This record gives sequence, C-alpha cells and structure tokens, in this order.
Amino acid sequence: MWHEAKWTPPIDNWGTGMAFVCDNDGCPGGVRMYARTKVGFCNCYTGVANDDEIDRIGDVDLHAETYTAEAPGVVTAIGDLKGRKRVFRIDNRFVGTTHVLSIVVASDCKAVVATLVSNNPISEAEEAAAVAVLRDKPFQQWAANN
Amino acid sequence: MKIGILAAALLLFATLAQAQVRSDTPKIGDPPEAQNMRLVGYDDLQARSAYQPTIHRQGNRYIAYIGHHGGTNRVAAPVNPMTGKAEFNGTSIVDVTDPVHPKYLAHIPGAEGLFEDGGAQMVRVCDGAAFYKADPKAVFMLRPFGNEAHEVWNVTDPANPVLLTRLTGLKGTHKSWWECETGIAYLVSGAEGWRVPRMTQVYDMSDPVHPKFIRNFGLPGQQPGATGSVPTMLHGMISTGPAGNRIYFGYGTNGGGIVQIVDRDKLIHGPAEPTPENLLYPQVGRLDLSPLIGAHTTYPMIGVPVPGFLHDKIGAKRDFIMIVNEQILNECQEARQMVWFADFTVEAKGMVVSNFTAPELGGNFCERGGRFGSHSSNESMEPVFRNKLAFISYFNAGVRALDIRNPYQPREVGYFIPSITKDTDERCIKVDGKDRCKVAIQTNNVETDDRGYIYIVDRANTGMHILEVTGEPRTIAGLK
Repeated sequence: MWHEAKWTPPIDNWGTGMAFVCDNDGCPGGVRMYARTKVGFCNCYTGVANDDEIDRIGDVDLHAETYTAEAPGVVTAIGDLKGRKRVFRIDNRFVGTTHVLSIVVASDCKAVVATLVSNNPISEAEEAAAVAVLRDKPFQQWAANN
Repeated sequence: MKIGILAAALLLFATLAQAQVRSDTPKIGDPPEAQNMRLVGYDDLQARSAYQPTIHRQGNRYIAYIGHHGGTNRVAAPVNPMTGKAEFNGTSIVDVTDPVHPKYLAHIPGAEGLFEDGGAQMVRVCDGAAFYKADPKAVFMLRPFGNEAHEVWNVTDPANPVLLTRLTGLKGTHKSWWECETGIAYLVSGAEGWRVPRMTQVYDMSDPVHPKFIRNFGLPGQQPGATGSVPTMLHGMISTGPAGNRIYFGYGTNGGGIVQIVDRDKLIHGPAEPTPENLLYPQVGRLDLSPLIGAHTTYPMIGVPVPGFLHDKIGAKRDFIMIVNEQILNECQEARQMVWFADFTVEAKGMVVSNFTAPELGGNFCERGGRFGSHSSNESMEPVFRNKLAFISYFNAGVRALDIRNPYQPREVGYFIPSITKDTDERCIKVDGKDRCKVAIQTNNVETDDRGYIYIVDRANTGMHILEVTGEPRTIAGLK
C-alpha cells in the first residue's frame, strides 16, 4: 500500500529524504509522507521536549509558509527514538484544507523528522502504517547513513 | 598495444592520484601547511576542545582568554596540571605578552557535559575603567556556564580569577557581546517561555556585581505565545556601540540564515514588551539568506573606500557586512558554508555582492576528516587589520587570510594549517551504518590583537597557535 515516491519539497541544508505515498485501499484519502534525518540540531541533549521544539525542527514549513496547530502535541516514540507528534492544518483558499501530522523523534544529536500530508484528516491506522514504514529496513538503512 | 599503453598510463595516473590523497591525510610529525603566515608560539590548552579566543591588553600585558566546549567521550574532564585535578572544560587564561613563549596562567572549570552541552564556550573581556559604576582598575570577564548561566569574573589578576555574578535559569547560551565602552551586554540566552534556545537578553552590566535587566529580544515568531513556524534561532551579534548605534545580528549557523541590523538606541530605550510590533521597532534592515547557508558571524565593515569608486559622486564609500557561515557536518555532508560580503550601504536593502571559499580541490579537504568550511572571522576592530585583512577559521583548512580592501573582490593572500598532535581528536561519519573516523585539524575560531598577532584555537583539542603574517599580507597590514 505504501510505496516510495519522489521527494518534491524544496531543498534546504538538511538535504532531501525519502518520500512515500499510500493510496487505494490502505489510505482512502491518500497520504504522502516525507521523512529525513537532521543531524546536529540543537537541544540534542534534551531532545524534542516540547511543542516549540517540534515546531522548530519539524518540516511543516516545507509545505506552507503559514499553518495552524490543531492541538497541543503529544509524546511519541519510534523504536528507541523518542519525541513528539503534532497535528497541523494548512488552509489555502484555492486548494482548501490540507492536514499534516508532524512526527519528530530523536536520539543524541540526530533527529528523524517525518511529515504526513493528506487532504483528509489522518487516521490512526494511516499513522500506524506510516510509522511501520519508518521502522522498515529501507528507511532504517537510509537513515543510518544520512 | 596502444590500448595497453593507455591502460598502463591510466593505472599510473590513478596510483599517483591515490598517493596524493594519502599524502593529504594528516599524520603526526607532518609540518604545518602555510602560505604567507608563520607560527610564532603555541600552547596546548591542556588538550581541551576550544571554541573562542579573546585577547585583552591589561596594562603592559596581553592576556588570551579561551572559551572551551565541554569534554569529549574519550576525556570528559581533562586533568589540569596546575591543580592536579580533573576539571570540566571552562576557560583557559594564557599570558601571551611574549607570543613566542605563552604562559598558561589558570583554568576556570566550566559546566559538566560533553561537547556543546557543557563547558564555557565564549568569552568577552572589558576594563572597568570604561564602566561608570565599576572599579576603574578592574578587568572583567563575561562567559557562559554551559547552557544554564552567564557569569562575570574579576580577572584583574588573571592568574587568580574571582567569580562576581551568575545569571541563572537559562535553557541555552552562546556567543554574547559586551560593549566595553558602556557595559551594555547582549547575552545570547534561552529565556523561559521563548520558543528558541538562543535569543537576546539585553543587560546593563556596567556594575558587573549588579547586572540590570533591560529587555528580551528576538525575531517576531520567537517570542512567548507565538504560533506557527519558529524563525531561525540566533547565533550572535556585534555592536558598534553608541557611536555607531547599530547592532548586527546573525541568525542560523548552517541554514536559513538571517542578517538583522538593529538601531541600538531603539533597542535599549524602545518598548520592551515582546510583541511582534515592538520586536520590529528597532529593526532597520534584514536580509534573509538562502536556506542552504547560515549567518554565524556578522562583522560590520563601515565606510570602506572601494578601490575604483573613489571618484564616484555617490557611493564612493560603502558599508558592508561580512557574513560567515558555520559548517556543521563532517566531510562535506551538507551544503558548503563560506564567507559572503553584503553591501548594506542602504541598510534596508542589503544585497550579497561577493563571496569566498577556500579551494577544496587544492587541499582535498573533503577527504581529510572533520569539518571543512568556514566558521568565524576575527572580531577585533583594531586598526592593524581593520578593513584590510580578515582571518577566517576554516576547520580542517586551518585559518585563511583574506585581502578585503575591496569587498566586491575578496581574495586569499595566505593560510596556515597547523600540524596535528597526539592530542588531536578524531571526527567520524557514518559509512554503511558504522563510524568511520579520521584525525584532522579543526580550527574553530580566530582572533587578532593590536600588535598584529593572529590566534587560532582548535575544536579537536590541538590547542592554540599564535601566528603572524608574512609577505604580501604583511605589506597590506602595514606591518614591518
């Protein structure tokens, strides 16, 4: 259901990452996920400790200059990496509302930043499937070398 | 037959090329690499990872104060031979009056913690004589204590420093600025509630024992209660004091850089409540850089008479900011960070007009290990080098000397890459998921004094090298 896709966000100094798309039966609304590592981000000893950190380190701004947090973030983890996730909304009068789930987890000075983007609210099942992709070998191997 | 000869020639070429690569990998015992710069003196700084040197003239003496990062995985707290105790990296104090024979005077321990989590990275020093509320004979040193506090020490006797003040409760610190002519300090702090671990706290520290808080400052969006994306956090600033009435802020290190010019008087005396409107009130210029580069050091070059423009009715003298980015990742694993010159003659409409980067091809620097790219410039405004030469720390490419008399066309006129020593620490990158490490010089920061000596310190524990220019750059500086 999830397959690798082309990285389309604009380039910055964190470089590009891996992109995935989930559609058809797995994600009725269609979900795109952009995931990459950020090495040497600050506060690397306290990790992603609060919502300011997820707002600062997350990649929502690659998708829109302005966006709105839907709710406070919550603690999350992917394997040994710990951090936070937070739901955002991007409103555009031409294309309507885009829903974004930003997941930022870290260990030491290395963060994994994943951004899920969909035209519909992202369900728990879609989120769980996306996290499984992040824990799968292709992304893990890529992340280990980036 | 011809194919065989060609293949043999290619093999020979490949072998020679490989040999060249190997010869570029530094080894203990290799001589330093230099052009128009030479070594005058050296101190190993007790093999502590060094961030920033500041040179201060105290009477007839010249004293170097060196801020250190925290310890390393290998040695969390090196032993201070003067006390016989293991001490967390803090501040080294070295008498460099005789630069050939620097004398280590004292080490003030810093905060516990490794790398940027501990230590006391930066340091500024001012004479009390300029502070109307301070002992006129005293000399004061400002430094962070890890990421948790700022401290002021009395270093009148640099061999016996005394702690005067500690401002605590922070979640970040970095490269502050202290106006020695007024005592106003611009502290890079992580204040409670602010959305970034590095923003500005303005203090009147003309009475170093009783600092007086003036205000917090940052980019709109960084203040408490703001929402949405968080603007790039501060790295540091340089003030021109009441005379110049400008402060040059650099945000970002290796990406999303922002240069901001601030009216000093409006900053100090303007409305202090951190609303978006109040935060913009003192701003007179701002330049957003490419997402690929930061703004680590923003060094003002005011009123530069540009060669070839001298007969121009308008704009014969120009104001520039030398913007130095900081390379963060080892072995070229990110976009190249370098030096940019921006023409800010019209402050509200600054534009980048030139750049400099050390030539990678000649030095094979991406292969040497550690970081390769710019980090910082000298910040001294003494006339000997002012608007003539700039010195840029370049990690494994040592220090690079630039002729900046024409900022539209900067050019390299010298360099010095120290030799590694037994103390030089390794730097690693991931290859196939495993660490692959190399040992290389990591020249972190550079400063100059009014005699024309250049001081470079090493992030990979190689100590402090005191240098002087020779040849063309010596002529440019007007040194004999």
